[in-house]
Amino acid sequence: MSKRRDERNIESTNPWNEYGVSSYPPRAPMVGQEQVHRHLDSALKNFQPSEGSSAWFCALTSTWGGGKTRTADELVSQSTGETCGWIDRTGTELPLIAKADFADGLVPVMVSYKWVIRQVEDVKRRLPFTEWIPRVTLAALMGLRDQSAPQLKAVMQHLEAVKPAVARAIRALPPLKDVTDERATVNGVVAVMQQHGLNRLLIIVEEVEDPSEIRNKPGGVLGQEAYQEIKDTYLDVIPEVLKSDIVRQGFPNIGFLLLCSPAVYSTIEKIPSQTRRHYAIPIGRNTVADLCGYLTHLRKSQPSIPEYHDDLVRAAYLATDRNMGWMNVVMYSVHQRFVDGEEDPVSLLRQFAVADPRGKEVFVENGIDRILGAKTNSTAQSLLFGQTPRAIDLIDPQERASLLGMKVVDATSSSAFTELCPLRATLSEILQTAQQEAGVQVISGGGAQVLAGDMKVDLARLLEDLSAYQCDDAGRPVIPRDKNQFIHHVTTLHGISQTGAAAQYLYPVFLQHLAETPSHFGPSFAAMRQIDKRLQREEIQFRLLDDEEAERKLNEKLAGLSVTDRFRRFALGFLNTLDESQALGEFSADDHVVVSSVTLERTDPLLLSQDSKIWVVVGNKGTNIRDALTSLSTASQPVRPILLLLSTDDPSQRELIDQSLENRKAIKERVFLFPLAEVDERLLFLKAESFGDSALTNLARSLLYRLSERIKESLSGRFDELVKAGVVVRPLFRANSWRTFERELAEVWLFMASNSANDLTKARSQFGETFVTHFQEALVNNKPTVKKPTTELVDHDSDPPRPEWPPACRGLLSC
Amino acid sequence: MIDHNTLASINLSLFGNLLHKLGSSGRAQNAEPKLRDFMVSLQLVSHLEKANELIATDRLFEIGPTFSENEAVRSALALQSDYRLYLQHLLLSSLSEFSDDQSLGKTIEQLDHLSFELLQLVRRSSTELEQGTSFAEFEKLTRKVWQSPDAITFLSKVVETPSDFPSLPNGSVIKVGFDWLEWETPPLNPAPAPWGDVSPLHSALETVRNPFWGAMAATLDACTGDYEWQSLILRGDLLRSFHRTVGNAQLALDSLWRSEFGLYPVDPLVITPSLLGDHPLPAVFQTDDKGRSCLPWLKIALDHLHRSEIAIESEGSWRLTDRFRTQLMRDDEHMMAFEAIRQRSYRLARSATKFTLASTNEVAAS
Repeated sequence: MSKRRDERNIESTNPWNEYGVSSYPPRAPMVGQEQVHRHLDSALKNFQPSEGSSAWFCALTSTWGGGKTRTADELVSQSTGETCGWIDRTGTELPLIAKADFADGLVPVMVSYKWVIRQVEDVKRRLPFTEWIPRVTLAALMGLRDQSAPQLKAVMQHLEAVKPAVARAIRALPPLKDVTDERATVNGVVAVMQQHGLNRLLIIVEEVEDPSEIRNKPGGVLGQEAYQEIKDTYLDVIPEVLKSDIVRQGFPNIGFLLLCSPAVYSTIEKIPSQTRRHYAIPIGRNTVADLCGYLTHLRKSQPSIPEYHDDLVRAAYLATDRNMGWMNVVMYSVHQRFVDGEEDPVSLLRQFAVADPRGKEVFVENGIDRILGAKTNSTAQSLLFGQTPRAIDLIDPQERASLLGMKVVDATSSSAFTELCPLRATLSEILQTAQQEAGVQVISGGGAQVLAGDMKVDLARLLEDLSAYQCDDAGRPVIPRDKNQFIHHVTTLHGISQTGAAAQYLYPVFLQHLAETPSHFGPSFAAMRQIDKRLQREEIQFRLLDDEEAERKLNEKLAGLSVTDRFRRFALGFLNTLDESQALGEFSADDHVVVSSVTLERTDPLLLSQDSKIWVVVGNKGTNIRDALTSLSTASQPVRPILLLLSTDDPSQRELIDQSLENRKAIKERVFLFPLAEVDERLLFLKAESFGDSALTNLARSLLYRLSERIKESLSGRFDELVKAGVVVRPLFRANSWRTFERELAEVWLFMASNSANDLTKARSQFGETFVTHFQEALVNNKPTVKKPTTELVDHDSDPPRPEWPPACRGLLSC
Repeated sequence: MIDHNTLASINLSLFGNLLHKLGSSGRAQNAEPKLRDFMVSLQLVSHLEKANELIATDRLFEIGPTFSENEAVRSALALQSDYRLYLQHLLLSSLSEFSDDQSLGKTIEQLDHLSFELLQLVRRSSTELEQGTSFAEFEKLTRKVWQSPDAITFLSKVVETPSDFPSLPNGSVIKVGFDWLEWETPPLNPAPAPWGDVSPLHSALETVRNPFWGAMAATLDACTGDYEWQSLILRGDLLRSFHRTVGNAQLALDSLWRSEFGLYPVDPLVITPSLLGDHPLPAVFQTDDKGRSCLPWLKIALDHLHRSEIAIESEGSWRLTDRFRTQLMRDDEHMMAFEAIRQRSYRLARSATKFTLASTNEVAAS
């Protein structure tokens, strides 16, 4: 063993980059990211200057360490012939995107945005959108002339070798301060390039990044008297550059590949008209399998690269929140100890955390002390630094029980460890369940996209993220059944910016498909966030009120309410959501159902009775609700719509009600059923408490808006169903102008409906001229408009207008 | 120094117009030399000889706001020392005619702001005034300006509108901060920023260079929310920072502008209904105990900015329009102004994070 270790030590090659940055020229092939390769290749093929074309723009987006610079380096190295290739995850060589020696007419010039800004500011200029293209290009050409970065040096030297005339033109450029006509100067160089077969100048602008990164003097302002230099304006201008079609048309031979951080790109992306004006290429995260495949491939050409354990690669990758930059830093650091014989991933990572000065950038210093009891428990530490759950039978049941009791020192004393259960459903099955879940809407024509809370979530991508973390032997992702753990798990793995509050709504959907018996056991993300610094960047918050204290009181108040009071608040909140502020009159109340009535003023789909009243039934138990509905439908009760709010996550209660209504059609046709998702209840309670708009968080406003839209859509959908079934004739007896003539309307209409031979002439002789005239006047209001669909009671095209009625009504009358 | 005849020969209509202009925009060009010298002597303006431009000082705004040009003229003339002395004598002579102590007491209450000066005068020799040459010009002037043929009418006018005879401004003399974007640090003594002139809103560059509208633009830029630091929320009457209430928006911004911009908003000298838009003209002008205006200047300003398509209310919160921001990025000059605005808006947003409701109240109370 010792001999083998020595051999490994002597021969080993460390394939990782010490600082986690791309170095030029590349030392190893680019791996994976086939989609980026495909998109970049296709986008660059479309960069073909011609009559009437404009400057080309493409935004390559990823977080720091995501691979933007590496991709750009690859492009430059392909043009200069220094590439090590680009392979897919199976090790197959992908075709080159740029041809060597600029054979495809493409000259890539890579500059940093910060460097460009410094150049233009040094000559007292800025980058307004009207001058952005020529100035950035000119600054890049100056950089090329001065060979101010390895990538620029490589391109310039290569130009000197293969296109000396172009190199001469670039060398002849005057200093920036002496250039008065930047456009002419740039076009002059472009013209020389074109003469020598180079028709595409691609400026790769790196470090188009967050304000905090581009700001000259980061740090506090208070206490410093002088106004701090802020360079955010250089980011604000980019969407304007994309929009400035006229300026762009002046530079058809110039293209820009912007290497953007996601925050900057989001400012571009949110303007819908921008999407067609540029190519957007997001760089996704590699999977652990990609990484392992990459290492295997590397070892083929360099056998001296050691065979790291998958567990180590996985743990390091997760500890760095799947950031390739930091992954390189960690692996570079642990490489030597691994070569020296330490193979346990937990020991290696712990050693990195303690001994490497950069360890505290990946692992929180003393983070383990935030998990009560973990410091003296080796299994706990092993699981925490191992990062991923283990098969449950590998851990002693007694120890498991003890670990499950460990708490994290955080606001909610979360559990530090959790049991995870396999997800026993395919994407289609999950979508099917989502379709039935009250709080989730499957987007029609949106593939696997659903609307959950305030977010549009692609369930396919979500499942990919869950699977990439840990699967059982059958390849099914393992997920905690506990609600809070589930929310942390999903939100962390899918990213808070892409998940928002969606996990709260998705929980009931996933719960239905999670196995009852756990297959894995591991650290909770509440605990991981105490250990892994990279996970701390995104706070998971579900606050509804701006003021933390008010939020706490709200939660306490909701928790302290009796079931009956909760139902009362839900009813009130529901009406407030519909902007109906009238008081509810209570009819009966117990722990399972509360019945009340209210007069409505605004909600058209429910304004169906003569007195505009509705019954409101809120309950959680099927049998009690059924009885309440029956009592409201007896002959002694006035006929009114019944709004039923079902507050239960037990599907059997819902089934019981559905079945009961199926058996009693006369009751069913009065019921407007709205099942409440658990999160809806919290929102309705918030609405019942009548907080001003200014007291709410943006999240709460957004969720309330979505809820009110959902309620309106549900009510109007049900109304349309009832119209189609002939149960409701709209807007008969409802419009104020009709009320004066409601008797005329009813009598004449029924007279004609009772016998197809009856017409207006007969009606006139039966009821008199004035009576029928009033009937006709009332019907004029029934004319449908684009905004107001109505039941076709009258054929307005015939002369005189001929009454019509829905087939179901006709059937009823002829009985 | 202005002699009696010069004072009497002032064209009151022109003077009223000039005061209105200076009191709204803070600047006026090519003023009549006599008026210019008079105002400079009272330190109501500073004269920039090169541009032949007058820039209003905080002293001018201290005598307002008023409802009409005539009231502004009364207030400004009353600052001239000889004429002031004459007016004070008129007041004293009228007061001496009172036989009823109760009425006298009530009348004196209305003159409380002048009590120190009047007491000084009572102690001095009553012959001091008579040593002067002729008061015929002052009498004529008072008749014209105050429509007061006699002392008792004058007293009744002052009692009716005490602000027309203001107390003497004191302290430093600070010009309106038209050069505020060039300041590298906020000055120790904040400069006035009058909100009475909406003409700069026609140009993006003029808007941001104007101390009041520029400060509004910087404030709204801090509310934009594109970057994490743009964390201010201006909704309703409240200012929030990172979703925490800072306090009443108008009060909080007054304090924040003073410390972070070196500016403070001031009401125009002459308030007209057209300037207030939909907001009603108040019956009387009020200030809080810090001397800050109680006019809803913030709402009025936001209305004007909205009409000029500079600000927009989005989901209940105010922010700059994209159109306005685009204008600020169209050439080097605009970009540099935008940068200066951004530096200030960043500072404002950062400062607001440390500004709590309690501190707002403390500031308001102090």
